[in-house]
Amino acid sequence: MSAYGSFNDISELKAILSKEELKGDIGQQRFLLGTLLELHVQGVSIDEALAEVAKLLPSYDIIVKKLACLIIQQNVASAPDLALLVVNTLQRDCRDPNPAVRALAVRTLCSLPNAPDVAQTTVLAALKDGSSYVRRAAVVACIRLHRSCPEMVDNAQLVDRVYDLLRDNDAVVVANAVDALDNILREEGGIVINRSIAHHLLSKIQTFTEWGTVRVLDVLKKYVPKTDEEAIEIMNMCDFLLHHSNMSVVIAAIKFFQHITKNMPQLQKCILERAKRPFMLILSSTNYELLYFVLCYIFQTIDQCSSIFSTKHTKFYCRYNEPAFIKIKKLQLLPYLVVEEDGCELIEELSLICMDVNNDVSSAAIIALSKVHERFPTFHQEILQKFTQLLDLKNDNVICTILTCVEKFGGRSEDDLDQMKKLIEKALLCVDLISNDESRCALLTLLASHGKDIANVPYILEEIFNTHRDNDSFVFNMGLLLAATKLFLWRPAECQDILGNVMERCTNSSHCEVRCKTIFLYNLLQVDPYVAKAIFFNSSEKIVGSQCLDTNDASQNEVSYPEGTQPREGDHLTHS
Amino acid sequence: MIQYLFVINSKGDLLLLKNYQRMPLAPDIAESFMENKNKVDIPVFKYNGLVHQYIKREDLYFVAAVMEGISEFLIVEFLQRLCQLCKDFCGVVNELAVRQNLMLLHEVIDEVVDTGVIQQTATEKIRPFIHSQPTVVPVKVIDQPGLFGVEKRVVSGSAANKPVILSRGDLEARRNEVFLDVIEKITAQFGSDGNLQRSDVRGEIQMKSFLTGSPVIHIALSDNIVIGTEEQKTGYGTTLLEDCQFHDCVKRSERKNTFIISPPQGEFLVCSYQLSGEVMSQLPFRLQAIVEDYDTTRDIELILKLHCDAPAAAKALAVTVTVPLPKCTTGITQRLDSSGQMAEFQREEKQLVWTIGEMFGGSKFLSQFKLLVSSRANYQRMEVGPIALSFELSNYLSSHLKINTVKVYEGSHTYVPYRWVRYVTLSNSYIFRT
Repeated sequence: MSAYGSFNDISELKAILSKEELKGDIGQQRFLLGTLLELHVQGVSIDEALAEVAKLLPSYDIIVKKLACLIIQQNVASAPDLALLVVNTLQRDCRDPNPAVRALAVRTLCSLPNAPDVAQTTVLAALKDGSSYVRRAAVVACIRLHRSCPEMVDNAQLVDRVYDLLRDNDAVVVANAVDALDNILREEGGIVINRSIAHHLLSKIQTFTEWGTVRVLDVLKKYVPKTDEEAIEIMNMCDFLLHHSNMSVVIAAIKFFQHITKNMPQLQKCILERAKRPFMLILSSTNYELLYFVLCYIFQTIDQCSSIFSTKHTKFYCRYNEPAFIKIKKLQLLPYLVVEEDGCELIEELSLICMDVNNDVSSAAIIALSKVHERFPTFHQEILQKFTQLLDLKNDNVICTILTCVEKFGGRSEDDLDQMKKLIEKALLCVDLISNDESRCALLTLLASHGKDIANVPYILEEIFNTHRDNDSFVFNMGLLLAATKLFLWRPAECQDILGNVMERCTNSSHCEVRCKTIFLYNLLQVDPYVAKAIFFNSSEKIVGSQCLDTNDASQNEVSYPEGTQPREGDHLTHS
Repeated sequence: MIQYLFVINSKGDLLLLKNYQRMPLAPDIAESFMENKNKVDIPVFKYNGLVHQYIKREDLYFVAAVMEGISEFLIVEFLQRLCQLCKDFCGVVNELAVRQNLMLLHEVIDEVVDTGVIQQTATEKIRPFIHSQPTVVPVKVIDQPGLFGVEKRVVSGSAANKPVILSRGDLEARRNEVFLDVIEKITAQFGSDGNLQRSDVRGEIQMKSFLTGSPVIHIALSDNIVIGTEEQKTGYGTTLLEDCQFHDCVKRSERKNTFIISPPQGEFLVCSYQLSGEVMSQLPFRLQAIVEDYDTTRDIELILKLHCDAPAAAKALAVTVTVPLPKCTTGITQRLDSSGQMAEFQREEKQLVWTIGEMFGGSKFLSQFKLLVSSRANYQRMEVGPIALSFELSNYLSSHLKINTVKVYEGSHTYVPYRWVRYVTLSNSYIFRT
């Protein structure tokens, strides 16, 4: 497949390279160097042939030179003697009439590890070169030099020279200088931006390339304008950046503007509004990676963005052929972008996505619906209805996610309770499909909260208990315990048996907190069931993940045991 | 500052690598990237202390690794630009092109990135420093749908896939041509009653110029187009182009709807826009889906009727209708009304795919299917749908935009250039709810 045939043996290559006939054959030279490069990429060591490569460096053909320099740069770390072979040739090349050759030589010289003096003098000369192409390479070469021998660059002469180049005519040289200084002076906090440098850079802002602009704006965040008028003047000068076709420039400009208007919070939102157009264009593009970052940015700044984009929220709806990561991000974002009037439309749209084939996407849609419920409680009925319909799909992932979400819904009016009952009844029909313990726990909590209205609850509880006799997970057992206790308090005659079974099971649990809780509840019920009833039904009880939070009153009676002294079955506790 | 860059194919083979760090890279860089990528589903993740970002184009991944704190937008826009540069210099971006043009791409990337610092990415600025010749990779004609140029002259779609930077041999044989593509992508959602619930059309005008010298090109759009903002009123028969974004080299002239362009080398986007106004309701395709389940038999019947409302000159290729089916479906039987169509039941994804090879404007197709389900009790009506339609329709635009004239003014050369204009409408997300 490759263009370079299949040489596997470096010594074979080396032999061909050292032949006399090769001298005039430029095509063959290029071919062999290309092969070496490819082998190096694949991980084959080419140290044997490096001496021959060095011999090809003084060639007149620029491609051969480029390839030779590339190979040298990549391998000089593993073959330090190579540097000695090539230093003279490179120094001569630094005086070549062709600026491309000069720039190449400067770059290569500065990546040699054991010729720092030569490199320093070369760079100093190149920084004053007549050709801007060479100056660009020289500035970036300072970074290389700094990496290999920091002492050489800390020599103040070099840093000052680079600072001078901030005033260069060529925009790329200036941008490179900014980058180089920021890198070299990183220990000291990066480049120093005083008022004159800041204004100079801002006056040239139109001349930079898009990448240079981003770098410059980044570095300008160190500058704080003295007055509000100055800040506004700067923003007027750079206003065109908010409509740039390159999104990174737009974002950098927004961040910069928001930084300089820290004292004027009323302008912060205006800035985002002015930058609305590039955002809208990205939303309908198919550059998914860029779209992902835009969505993340909007999510981070949702407080400011929600009112700006709420009229165009339909642009954020998921499209059929988008990759899953885009759909999931959009679903995270949508509940916060809509206003109440658009709630119904959004609910319709989200329920369609809940049936998506991809499990992560459909879970994200269900969670989005529950977030809509959080923001706009008036849609309680509709959302519960949608969930009830979705349970018909008999999809275990959907059922699990719905249960964990619905558990957090509070009860409201009579109608709402009715709808909740229907949902629970439907869920009970597919209880076998539930595959994880958190969802089973969620179902048990729901049963406990609404159990008094649903017939057969004790028998359902018994069935769940029997099917999962061997399940020792913390979450499940806690859920079972609390559900059984609550239901017992509602319907004592029917649930007495099951409560007993559950408590007996829990006292043998491997989790100490489960055992403690069982004993505590047992004693509580023994002492005064009416107190228990008051505790359980006066304030809401939440089961949050692996932690059980009871009401404030009950926590006063909690007794915690140090390790190793847990009471066993049959122990009685006395409360003080 | 970029630490390293590489290009790999979907199998994980390393095609091109550029290391800007001092220490050499671990040999398993491609494998560890694929491993980490498959763990998370998003285009950015961190491992080995560096943030890795990638873009996927065709079957290639362009990956960059940077230190924390660099703007992720910068890297993703840069990778996109890099991919575009590869296309300008090699003609197409696929594995074969990269492998054949490795030296050329090394030269290009060296000009663009120096020690991890991004320098210049404009094609005409880089071109003088590139000396390698491109190897043009032949493009399979089957993948390129046939396209129609202006009036009766036709070139295949792959004609525009030449590299902009031509090898010396081609320079003499070069024809002076300019290609203009107007591409609109439609996103639409229709309700179960057949009414349009919402739609969104995004259009782009792209230009690729193979003209010698530095020409100035004047383009005039048809009169039914109004370029402006939401507040402007449109009359009957006019289309409003909203949110227009023009390239820097485009200037508007005094005459209505005329633009003066000094094109840079390579392919570039002249203008991108969004549509609003009454054209939103004139979308090119309509689909009716009827699902019947009779209690007496065990099978469920599905009838699909697809209408194309575009004018007769329009032609759609490879129209695909995808219908998700209930999980309990085991097979289908089909009855299609003409040849040139195909229907397939995909077992793993549980969907029905109906493909029509060629469809002209004004035509309609009907197909009938019977779904065989394993158990009637588990069948849910709502599991059928929503139906997705994908198409590439040429010679038709929802905006009815036409490029009336393309004039090329070139001072020092005298030639009559070939001007190719192509109008294509693509489906972005065309959904019918059932």
